Amino acid sequence: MASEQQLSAIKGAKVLMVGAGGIGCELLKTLALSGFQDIHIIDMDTIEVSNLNRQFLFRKSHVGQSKAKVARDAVLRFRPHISITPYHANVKDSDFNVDFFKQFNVVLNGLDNLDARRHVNRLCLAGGVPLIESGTTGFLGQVTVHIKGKTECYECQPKPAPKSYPVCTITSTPSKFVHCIVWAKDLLFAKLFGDKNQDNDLNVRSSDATSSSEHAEDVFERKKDEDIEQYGRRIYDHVFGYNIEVALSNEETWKNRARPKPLYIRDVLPIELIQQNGNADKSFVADDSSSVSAMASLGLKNPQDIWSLRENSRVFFEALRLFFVKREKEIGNLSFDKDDQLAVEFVTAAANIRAASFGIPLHSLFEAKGIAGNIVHAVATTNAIIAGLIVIEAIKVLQNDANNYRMTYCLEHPSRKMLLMPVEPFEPNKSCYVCSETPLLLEVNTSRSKLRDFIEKIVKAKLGMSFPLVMHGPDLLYEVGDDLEEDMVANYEANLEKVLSELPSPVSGGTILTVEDLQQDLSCNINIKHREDFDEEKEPDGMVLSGWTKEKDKTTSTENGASTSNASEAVSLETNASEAVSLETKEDSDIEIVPTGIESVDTGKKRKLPEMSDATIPDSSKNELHEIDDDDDGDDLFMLDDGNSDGSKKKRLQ
Amino acid sequence: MDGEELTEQETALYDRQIRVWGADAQRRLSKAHILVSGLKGTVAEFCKNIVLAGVGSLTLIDDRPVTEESLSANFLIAPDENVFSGKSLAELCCDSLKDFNPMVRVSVEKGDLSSFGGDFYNKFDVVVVSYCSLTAKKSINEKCRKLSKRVAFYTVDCRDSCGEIFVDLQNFTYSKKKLDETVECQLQYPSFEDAIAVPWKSLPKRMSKLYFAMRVVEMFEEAEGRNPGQTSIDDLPKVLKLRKEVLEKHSLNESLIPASLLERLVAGTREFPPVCAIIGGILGQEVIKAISGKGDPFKNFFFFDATDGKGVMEDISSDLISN
Amino acid sequence: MSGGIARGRLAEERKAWRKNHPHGFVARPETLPDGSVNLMVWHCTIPGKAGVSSLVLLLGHVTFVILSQTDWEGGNYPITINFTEDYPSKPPKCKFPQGFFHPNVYPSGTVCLSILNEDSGWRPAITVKQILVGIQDLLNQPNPADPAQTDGYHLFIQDTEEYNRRVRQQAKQYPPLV
Repeated sequence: MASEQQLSAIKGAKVLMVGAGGIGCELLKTLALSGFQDIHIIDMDTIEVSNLNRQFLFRKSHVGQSKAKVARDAVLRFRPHISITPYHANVKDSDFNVDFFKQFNVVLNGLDNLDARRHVNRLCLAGGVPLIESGTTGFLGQVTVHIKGKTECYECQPKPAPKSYPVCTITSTPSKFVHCIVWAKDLLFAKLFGDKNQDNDLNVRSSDATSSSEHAEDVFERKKDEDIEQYGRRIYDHVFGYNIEVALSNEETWKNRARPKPLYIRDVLPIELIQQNGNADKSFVADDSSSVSAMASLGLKNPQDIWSLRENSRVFFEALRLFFVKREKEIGNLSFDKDDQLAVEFVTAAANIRAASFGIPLHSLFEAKGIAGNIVHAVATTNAIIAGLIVIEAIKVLQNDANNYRMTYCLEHPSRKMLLMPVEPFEPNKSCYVCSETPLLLEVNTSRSKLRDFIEKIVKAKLGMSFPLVMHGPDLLYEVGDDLEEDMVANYEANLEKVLSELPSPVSGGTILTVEDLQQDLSCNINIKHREDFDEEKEPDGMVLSGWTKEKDKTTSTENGASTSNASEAVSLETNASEAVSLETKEDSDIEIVPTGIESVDTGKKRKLPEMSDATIPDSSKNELHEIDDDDDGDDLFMLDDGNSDGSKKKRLQ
Repeated sequence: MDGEELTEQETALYDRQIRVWGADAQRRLSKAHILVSGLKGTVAEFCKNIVLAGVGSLTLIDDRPVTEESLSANFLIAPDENVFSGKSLAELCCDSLKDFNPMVRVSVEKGDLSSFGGDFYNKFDVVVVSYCSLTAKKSINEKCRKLSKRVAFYTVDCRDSCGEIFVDLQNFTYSKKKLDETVECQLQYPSFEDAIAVPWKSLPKRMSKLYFAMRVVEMFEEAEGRNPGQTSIDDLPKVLKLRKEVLEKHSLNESLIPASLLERLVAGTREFPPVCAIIGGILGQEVIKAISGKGDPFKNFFFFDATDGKGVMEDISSDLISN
Repeated sequence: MSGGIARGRLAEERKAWRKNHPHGFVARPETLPDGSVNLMVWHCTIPGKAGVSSLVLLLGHVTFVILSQTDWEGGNYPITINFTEDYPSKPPKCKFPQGFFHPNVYPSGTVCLSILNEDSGWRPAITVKQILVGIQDLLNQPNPADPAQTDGYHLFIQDTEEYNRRVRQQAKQYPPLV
């Protein structure tokens, strides 16, 4: 049960949930039960059948509707008197800017992708809003607390990016089943059914040198009046037979690799069987294109079965045929969708045939679908546990109970008797690109002030930069220097005369600008806040720059005061750090040239970043658990060591 | 792989979880029959999890009428009108749960749990009791053990921001993956009665304090003839006195059970929803493991306390003493 | 907001390039008609390698400088580098114009080169400069183990004369920008 203080903190809190999926449904329910009164929830997704096994606020009748809105309605049924504000929108929409985030006491993430997580992390940092981040896969899960300046931010440790595969491996030398899936999905499927104008490297070695180039392009085109079965045979023999033969002719490639086996349909499947495919269909009437299935018309029932090469070839023909017979209108516009049964069947069959050719083990449709659709394993129980842990941390955050913040791991198998393992949060990574810089705040009338005013009065006069680069996200708004080409100079000159809100990528309240200098090793982020009027006497620049302190109440209107307190904070932080780190920092930092309030970011450190992320490209499975407190009171805590050999161990808070 | 295959509908609905535990486990789940008693927040969470997972049937027992207190951590019941509807807790929860997954049969059984005989428990594969007296826990566990088939028995209780799960899987064989190979394992479980009879002195030093505190509160309720969970801060002096007696009997120091912990347990009788979600989730996972026979189940107690955030399992059985 | 790590690194690359870059190369962020300049896409030109000069001693004391013209010389080959949010943990994609003649260039124009392959040669520390110089080297030294187009590959293996003719023809298609 919650204590009185907890209850009052809960009742007065305004929280933002990002994501109304597996974790989101559980979280919204637990927040409501725990007494939260004002919850906002953003999710751009609509409900799908495969969500229903765990996203318990949704029913079959809700399929296709907004997750955020249906979740709200479902929770209001058992807690009718609380306020839940749903947004059926992408959290990256510009409406959800820093100002939007700043209205919340805490932000709770239940997201399923890296991109959105990074985005929310940065907005929370920019707005100084605490973030609780979470994730699950199967029986594993974790909850982490990110408080600017106190604990590491979501991006302090590099995250594994989703795997991508080089074109060469996919087109020429697959060695794993996933390579065959990517080939079947992104090359063959896209070539046959997708946009014809898209680049496609499928036919690398197919074009016969002797034939004209336009003929080569036509291989995948169904000729006028060409029988569908004929067409299928031609495609099959071309991609699984001829192309492999061509590849084999290049001896160099196979010096150190197993040689693939060309497959021709006449050797795999007697012609009668292909024709039978069509016959089976005559008793089968499907009007709804989404229910068209090659498995159904071939009488293959179990998606867990691994089909033989012959069965895969039959599915290949049947799926191809069904696309042309039942879904002809879509051909040319299709892109692979894991919920499109026929597409999954085609891709499974094609991937398996290719796998057979390259001596790679075949897989079931169920497995192939998981790989092709990047499906995350998910169960209700882990999401429920993680949601409970998020709420526990959220309540601590609302009470500012910093000493008790924990990141918690939910394990599948107990480690030192524990299934739920709390760990003290780490302090921010000083070289983190995202959170190590202290952003500044600029109040400015974005529809009156020009870029020139900003450059002259702020970037040059206040920040002391000579050759600034001004960036808004990945867009360059301004550069200067003799090395620039004439057209670029003209372009930037034109920008100088534009008011901020009318720049090519418009600057408005909530925008974050990054300003760097070509020569000085200095970089800083500036949060833009739109303000209509300025006092001509006290604020002659028509804009006010102030340092951004960690606690909002410390922000003063006089820029110097705020900046000074900020700088001293930065210094004291360094003295707290271990000797090794502070030594390095002292060596690198260039305090004299840095105007107060801006943390210097030395190139030395930044340059190291790529190498660092290389060395520590995270492999969370490598993490080892170390017990650090081995006394008998049972209050032991655990520390994660990420296996870095460079000795730069993450330091514990406190 | 015994039995019929999953239907297309099941494969579509359970797609994501089949990717976790496999089609075989899913088939076993769909044939399992679960009984739960004591429908407060934690059990409501458990029921939701197990219904979503797709068990064959779920039977609910709780004849109590709905009170404001029973609504506090239970999302299965809408407030207001239901308080006075005359329906029992089990009936109201049943209506909501049916809605979660049409493929699971959810029903209500009326009557007092301890009055049912062995043939009643024989209908189930898993029995979960919550807010149940010490005597009832022991007797139901014994009834399950006497049956010719194996019935998994669980108790679950949450107080303040703490939770406890006990499990008796009797003689349990399961498979687990070890370096890409599936190996068969066996575990022998003691009954609840045998487990709590293990002398405290012989338990490991780093044993969760919650174990001892929960036993003291349990004994207190039993001695006073209280319904489980029916305590208040006024009971603390008597509970502390009992602590002293019990620990003396075990020749242990009083510091083993902090007074502050006992205070939380007797005063905080309302459940803390985040802890309900966590305990209900862990219990759901364990029941799924027990039914599917896949993965290490825990043996035989699990404790969670939100104040330190640790979820710990403890093995308390007589074979421990002989070591 | 987007592109923290990628954007930060690209800003560094941009600055480094502006301060110093190899002669004859061009690399600059894409400028769109509305005047926006996007760091995620760079338009570059790679000059074909100039002839290898060698000193030949003749008649005891007369020295001639002989320039052996490379077939790529004189061409200024346009290439687009597309960076993603995952840069620099993942390599950028480098593309010549569609149909570019070279054994290791896919019909779409995508360059097949080990340092641009996440699974083999790519390291986050590789700079834009190194990429462009690497591709310049590749022009003169195709890798027969990894053919990416039939046309270029077959000629390279079977008919050097015709291959060189095609290379020279292509060089004329991409005259220097003055």
